[in-house]
Formats: sequence, structure tokens, C-alpha cells
Amino acid sequence: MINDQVKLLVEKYSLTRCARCNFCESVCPTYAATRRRIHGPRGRIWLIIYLSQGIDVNSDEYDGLLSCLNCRACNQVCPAGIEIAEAIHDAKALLVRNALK
Amino acid sequence: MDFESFRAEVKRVVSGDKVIESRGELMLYSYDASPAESAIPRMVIQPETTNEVSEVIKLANEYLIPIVPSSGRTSLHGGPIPYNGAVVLDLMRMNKVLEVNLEDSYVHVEVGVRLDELNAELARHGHFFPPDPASSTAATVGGSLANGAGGMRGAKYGTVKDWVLGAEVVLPTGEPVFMGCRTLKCRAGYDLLSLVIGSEGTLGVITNAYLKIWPLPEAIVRLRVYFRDVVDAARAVGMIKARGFRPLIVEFLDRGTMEAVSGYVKEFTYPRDSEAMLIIDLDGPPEAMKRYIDSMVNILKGAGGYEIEWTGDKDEMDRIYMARRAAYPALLRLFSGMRVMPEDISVPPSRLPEAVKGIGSIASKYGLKIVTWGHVGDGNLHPNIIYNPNDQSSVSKLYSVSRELGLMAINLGGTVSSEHGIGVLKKDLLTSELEVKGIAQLRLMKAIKRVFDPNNILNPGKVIDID
Repeated sequence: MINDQVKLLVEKYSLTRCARCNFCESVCPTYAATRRRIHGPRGRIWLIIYLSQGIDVNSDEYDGLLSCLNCRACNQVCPAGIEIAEAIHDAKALLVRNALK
Repeated sequence: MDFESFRAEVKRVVSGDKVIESRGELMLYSYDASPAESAIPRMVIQPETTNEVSEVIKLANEYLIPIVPSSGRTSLHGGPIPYNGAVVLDLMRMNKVLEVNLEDSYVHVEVGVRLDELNAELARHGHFFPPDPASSTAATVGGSLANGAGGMRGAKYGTVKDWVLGAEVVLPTGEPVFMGCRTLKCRAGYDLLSLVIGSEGTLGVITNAYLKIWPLPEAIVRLRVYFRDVVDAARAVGMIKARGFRPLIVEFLDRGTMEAVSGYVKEFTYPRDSEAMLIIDLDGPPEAMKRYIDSMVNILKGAGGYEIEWTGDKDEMDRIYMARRAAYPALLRLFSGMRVMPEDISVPPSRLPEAVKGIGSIASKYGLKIVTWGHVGDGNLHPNIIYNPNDQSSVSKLYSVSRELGLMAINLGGTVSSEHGIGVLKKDLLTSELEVKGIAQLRLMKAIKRVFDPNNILNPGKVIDID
């Protein structure tokens, strides 16, 4: 069921517009700290897309999504104009709500 | 190929937190920024030292595991995609500027440093590293060296190959060597470093490099000019060069680019009868600028340019440059549901008028929209092909257009890739270019690959096929 909700989220923010240029990763403070792509905006967006496709995401990768600081630096540099931080925020809410059920 | 033994041995030479094996995270290494088919790696390793790179590659060579080195993963040709269960070596943890040496005019830097980060550090010392690919925010030193990156300043400063003194390179057999020199002049036998630069990670893994640096320009003036005919704009470039000018940048934007930008940035306007725009930066001593500008304005008027504007004011310069900076975002936002494939050809600047016309004909022939800009000071054009990734016929047209653009460049005495590289998407075009220039070179290239990498473990299947 969560997949369906994530699908709506992918559509709402048109996440597949991501051109994978990776500008966002260069301004992301959590990626800078860990150098793990699950802690960078491009990685998080694609994890959300994979979730919507029914691909399992493990606990490390959930942590990757949850570690976003919502600083929105990525939004400023995205050439496609994706509201990356908002999409991640919504995904976090979905994951937490789902976990509490 | 005994992957289990390889895995166990890898964990002996690098700590567990540098080895990634979970599927979701591996999938983040399955693509680059190109339309090339994606593939999931079996493992990602994030080494921190040359020694770790060396140990991992020794193991890969022993167990015959294909290894794909990568860092920013901004490539536009599929070069870092790990086909056939390859292992990715992610070099982003090697990210230190080790030494800035003004006396010897070099910077010693690890490969995971991004170009903008490098230039921010160098600017503190009044210097810069000139190659400036459009992706410099995200592109790293390693990726730029491996792909022979260039950029806007190429007309004046060339590409990365002109700016590397020496580099530490781990050979496909795992032996670390220092290629080139730390000095400007270097005649230490065959120039192996030049083979590795632009080899797209097929001949060795660069872990750190000594790069030449240059003092920042004393003054820069930016000019903007429109043309009613694209051919006039292209001709102007030749005239500028023939008159002895070597501008810092000469950026060309066609009408499609201007239309896209004006649809995205409301403040951007352009004369309705203009078909092309050039943005030209001149650098030099402040006292010479007036003379340079007068002369440049004369040249541009003579070539049919109009509404010529120039400024040395930083904010005004930014305003002029907005047309170029906003071009890519404009395409991504205006053509929703579509994708943009930035092509990358070069022709001698004197042949630009024919190239620009040719791009128009190819676009009409296939019915795909092509929006062109380019670093025309050195004859480098980026025709951006707009296609629908979910429509098979559109994708197949994309590849036909890409092929025809490459063939046109070859016919005009140019090349199929200026600064993006070959990867997997342009292997056929490379062969076509070598057929014109002497196909014996393909045999040499294959032989070189076999000498460097007898077991074909380093980024196999990229640039050339050895079988």
C-alpha cells in the first residue's frame, strides 16, 4: 500500500524529471558529511522512485531518507526545478506514518 | 570469476563501512546523466587512499572482476555504468586539496575534489584551474581528467590534457605509478600520462594529480551581440580569431535557445529578428580593455552583428550571462515529459557556418527538436536533442540524429566528441572517425588496452571493444 502512496508522491513532484546531473549532491550537507549517495538528494530522489516501483529499501537506505535536514540547498541548484526537499519531507512522513501503524 | 572469495578478500583490505552491497544503494550507481542503458553493480567500494585502490585492483585482476572507477557520475556517454556485474570504485572519499604551490605553479589534488571546490580554493590564492565544463559544480578532478573535459574557456586554455603535469595512477594490474612530472617540461620517455588522460578509466585509475594553475585575469569585459543569420554569427568567430583575438569565452546561442530562455526567465528578452547571439569575454590588463573593445565592436559590426552591449560590471555581466546559464534549466522545464541529450561535436571554426546549417537539416529530417549552443571559440557545438524517453521511435531517432551529427562533424574536418568522451554511446562513431583518419589506429588502441590491462578488468567495453 505504501508503494501506491509513494507513486502518488513521485507524480506530485514529477520526480522522474530528474536529469541526474548531480548538482544537488554538491551542495548537500549530509552527503558532504558521509559521502554516501543515500545521504544525498539525487540518491534520495531515486530511492523514492525505486520504492514507488516496489523495490525493497533496507534500513540503511531508510536512514538515508530520514537524515535529510530539509535545508533546501538542493532546491536552489536543481536545473529541472524539482522541489527535492519537499518531496523528501513528504516521503519521510509517509515512512514514519507507515512504521507507526 | 569467484566473487565470494573476491568479496572476502576486499573486506580484508578495506574496512566494511567502505563496501556497499545493499540493492537500493547499489542502484544509485546504475546510471549516469546519459540515456545509456543502466546496469546495477555487484558491489561499490569507496577507497580513501591510493594504497586501498591498489589493493582492490590487484584483487580484481586476480579474480577477474570488472572494475569501473567513478566519482561525480555526471558523464554524458555511459562511461561509468557498471555492465556485466562490475564493481564500482567510488572515489568521492578522496577529496582533499593536498598542496597549492604558487612558486612551482601547481595544485596537488585528490580526484574526488569537484572543480568548483578546487577553483574556490585556488581563488583564495589569486589563481584558477582553467578547464570549466558546464557541470563543474558536480564534476570532479578525476572524472574531468578521465574524460578529457573542456568547457567554455577551451578556446583560450584548451582542455584538461593541457593542464596536467603528472598524476598518480593505479595500473589495471594494481601497481601504483607516478606518470608525467611535477615540472612543466617533461621528456621522460613515452608520454603515458597523455594516454591515460581521456582514457575514461580504461587504462588506469587516477588517484591524485599535479595540475597547472594560472593567475586569475586582471580584468574581464563581457560583450553581447545578436545576428540576423546564424551563419553570420559563426563567421564572426573566424573573424575574431583571424584578427588575433583569443577571447576567454565565445558562447553561441541559437534562436531555439533564446526562445527557451525567454519562456523560462521573464526578464530575458531578445530582438525578434535575431537568429543567434554571442557572449564574448575578453580578458587582459585593465588599461588595454578600451582598445580591445573598440576593435571587437568593429569586427562584430563588420560580421553583421547588432545591438552590441558590453560591460565590466559584475552584476551586469551576470545579467548578460543569464541567457547561457538558464539555457539548460529552460529546456528541462519547458519540454515536460521529454529529455535532453547534449551532443558534443567540434569542427574547425572556419566550418561553423556549414555545421550550424547542417544541424538544422538533420533536425528537420528526423523531426526532433534540436536547440544548439556551444563554445564556438574552438568550434565546439552542443546540439541538444530533445526526445521522449518513453517513446521507442523518439529514442531511436535520437540515436540516428546523434550519429548523423557525428558523421557531419567528421566530414567537416572535425571530431565526434570534443569534451564529453566516447563511453558506450559513441563507440561506432569513433570507428567512423578512425576510418577516415586511418583505421590502423583502432588496432593500436586495442593493443594499448591489452598491454595496460591484459585481463580486461578496468572499465571493459568502454571507448573501444578489444575483441
